[in-house]
Amino acid sequence: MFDIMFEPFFVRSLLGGLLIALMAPLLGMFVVLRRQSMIGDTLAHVTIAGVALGLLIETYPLLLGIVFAVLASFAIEQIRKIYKTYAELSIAIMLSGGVAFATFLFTLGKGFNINVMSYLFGSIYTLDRTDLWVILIVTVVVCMIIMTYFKELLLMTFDEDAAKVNGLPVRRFNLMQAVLVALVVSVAIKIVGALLVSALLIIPVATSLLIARGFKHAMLLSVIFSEIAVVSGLMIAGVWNMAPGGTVVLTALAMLVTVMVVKRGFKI
Amino acid sequence: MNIIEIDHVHYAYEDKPVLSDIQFTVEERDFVGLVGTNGAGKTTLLKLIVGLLKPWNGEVRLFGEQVGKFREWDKIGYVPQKNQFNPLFPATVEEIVMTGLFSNKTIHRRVTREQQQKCHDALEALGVQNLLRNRIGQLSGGQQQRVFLARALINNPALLILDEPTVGIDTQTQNEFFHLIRHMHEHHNITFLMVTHDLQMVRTHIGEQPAVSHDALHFYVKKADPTHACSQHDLTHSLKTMRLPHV
Repeated sequence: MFDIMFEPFFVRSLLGGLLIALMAPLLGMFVVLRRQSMIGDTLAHVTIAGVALGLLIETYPLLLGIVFAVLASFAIEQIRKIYKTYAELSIAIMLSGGVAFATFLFTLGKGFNINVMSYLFGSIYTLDRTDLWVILIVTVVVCMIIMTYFKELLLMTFDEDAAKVNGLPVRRFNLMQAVLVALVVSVAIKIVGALLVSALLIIPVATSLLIARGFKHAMLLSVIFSEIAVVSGLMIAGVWNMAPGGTVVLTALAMLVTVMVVKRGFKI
Repeated sequence: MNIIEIDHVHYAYEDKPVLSDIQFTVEERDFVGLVGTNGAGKTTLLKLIVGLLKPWNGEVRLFGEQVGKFREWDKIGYVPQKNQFNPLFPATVEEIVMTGLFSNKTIHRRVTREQQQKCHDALEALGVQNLLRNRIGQLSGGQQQRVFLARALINNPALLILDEPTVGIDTQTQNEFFHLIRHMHEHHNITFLMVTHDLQMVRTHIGEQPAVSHDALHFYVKKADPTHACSQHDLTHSLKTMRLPHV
C-alpha cells in the first residue's frame, strides 16, 4: 500500500511539492496582507488557458502557462491603473478572460481534455524531470527576491503611502510581486491543480496569522503549515489514488480549523 | 535654504479643480502647519509635495530639486495617519521600525548589528523600547505614534512630515507629542510639515495667524529661535536626555 512512496514519480511529486510549499506561503503572506487573495486564482485560470494552447499546438504546456500568467500579471497592473478606484475589477476581468479563453481552447482540442483534467485538479503522476527543474529555478528566484527586498515588501504591505513617500518605486514592486505570483501559480498547478492552487498561497498564511507573534514568525509558521499540508496531502493522494489538489487543500483547511478551535478554546 | 518650494501649483481631479495657483516656501528649520477642512486639498497638496501626484501646472521642489528628479528620500521622515493601517497586521514594533532603513542599498542586505542598535536607540529615545517584541496593532494610539516617529527618525531626517498626527489620541498624549516635536524643532536641524484639520491644535503649538492662505488652505509657520544653536549630538542621544515617560 505504501510502496507508491518509493516510486520515482511520487518522489518527484514530493520534491516538487516541498519546494512549492516553501515559496507559495512566503509570497502569499504579502498577497493576503495586501488584500489581493484573488490574484492567485485569476492567474491560475489564465495559466490553464496557456496550458491548453500548449497542448493544442504541442509545445511544452507549462512554458506557455508561465508566459500567459506573466502576461496576465502585467495586464492586471495596467487595468488597475485605468480603474484606480476599483482595484478588484482588473482581477475579475482577467479571471473571466482566462476561463473564457481556456474554454475556447478546450473546445477546439477535444482530444486533450483528459490531460487538462490533471492541470485542473493536480496529479502526482505527471510531474517529469523538466517540471521539477522549472519548479526548483522558480523557487530559488522567488526566495532570493523575497530575501533581498524583504524590508521594501514589508513596508509596502504595511503602508503603501509611507513606502511611496520614502521614494520606493511602488509600481515596479507591485509588478514584480504580480510576476512572482504568476510564476509560483503556474509551476504549482501540475501538482495542486489550477482550481486549488491559490489555496496554497492563502490558507497556510491565514492559519499562521491567527497565532503569529511577528511578521517573520508568521512567515515561518505559514511555511511549516504549508509543508505539512503538502506532504500529508500527497501521501493520502498517493496511497488512496486521489487527486492531490483536494487532499492537500483539505489538510491545510483541517489545520486552519484546528488552530481556530484551539485558539478559541485556550483564548490565545 | 529652501526645503519645500511650491511654485504656482494647480491641480484638478478630472475636471474638478482642487488646488489653484498655490505658492508657498518652507525654509530650513520652519515648523509649518498645513490646515484645511475635509476636501480643502491638503492631502492632494501633500501628495504633490512628495511626488505621488504631478501638478497640472507649476512645480514642486524638494531641497532645491524638482520633485520628479529628487532621489534623496532618506532625508525625509514620514509619520502616517494612525488609522491608515490594518490593526491586525502581524508585524512587531522592531520589524516596523526596521523598515525605515530600507534605503540602505547593498546587494545582500542582511540587517547589521549596527542597524539593529540604531533601531533600539530610536525606540529607547522615544521611551518605547519595552514594546520591541509587541505586535503593532496591540499598542495604544500614543504608543503607535511614538513607534512611527521612531521609524521616521531612524535615518536622522532633515524634513519630517506628520500626517494628521493627533487623530484618535488623547489630550495628554498630544501634549507629550508636541513637547517632543518642540524639543526637536528647537535643538535640531529638522524642518517640520504637519498636515492637519485641527485648527485649535495648530494655534496652540504653531501660531495664532496663518502666514499664507489659499482659499480653504492655511499655512501656519513657526520659525526656529535663532538664539538656539543646533545640538551637536545625535538626535536619538538628544531625545534620550529628555527621559520621556513610558507610554
